[in-house]
Amino acid sequence: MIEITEEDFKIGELIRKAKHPDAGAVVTFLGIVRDDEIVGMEIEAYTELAMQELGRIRDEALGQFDLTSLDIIHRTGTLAVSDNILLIVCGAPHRKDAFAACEYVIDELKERVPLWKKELSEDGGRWVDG
Amino acid sequence: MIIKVKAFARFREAFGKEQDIELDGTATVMDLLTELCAPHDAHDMIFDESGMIKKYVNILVNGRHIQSLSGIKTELAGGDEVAIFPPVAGG
Repeated sequence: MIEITEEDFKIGELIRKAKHPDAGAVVTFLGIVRDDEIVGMEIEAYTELAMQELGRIRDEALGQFDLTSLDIIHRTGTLAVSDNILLIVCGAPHRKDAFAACEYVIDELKERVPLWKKELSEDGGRWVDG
Repeated sequence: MIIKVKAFARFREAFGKEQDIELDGTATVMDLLTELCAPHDAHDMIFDESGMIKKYVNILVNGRHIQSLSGIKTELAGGDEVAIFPPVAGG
């Protein structure tokens, strides 16, 4: 499943869904808002293109690694410190593929998917450099 | 002809999220950008001192980066969608 949403995600539910009978490992990556002396973060997406690119990354990962499932959810909108930003859930028969796929997805996402973050502070905001 | 322009992040703040720009006759990406920047006094956001598009400015026509087309000389057709955004920074 791939999703770009303003809603928070239910991590436990997504992990439960990844428990395929052939899976021996589920690796998750959860990106959250870090307090770099900010009050929050605004996240913006070019949604149509971002969905296409996430789909391509997912297909690449499914082709390169032995996986039973791969879910990617990225949030947009205004978030507070410690709020969830991104969840990647990789199910696989063995842990090495699950870890490798998870790392592949986050690395490619950061390079390719049209999403932007603005750090919000008391005196305004600053777009994070890509 | 009408070209739909979508801008993101700092470019959205400068140009607005989405707008239709009317261009006469045969027009290129360069013509569109000139038209787009004029009312916002935003020429320096897009172009460097030599008149080239700054390295960190991404411009897509119908989802394709202009680097894979004909750059700023890429010709536009009515109904095209042009997107302008800075380097991506998700995750």
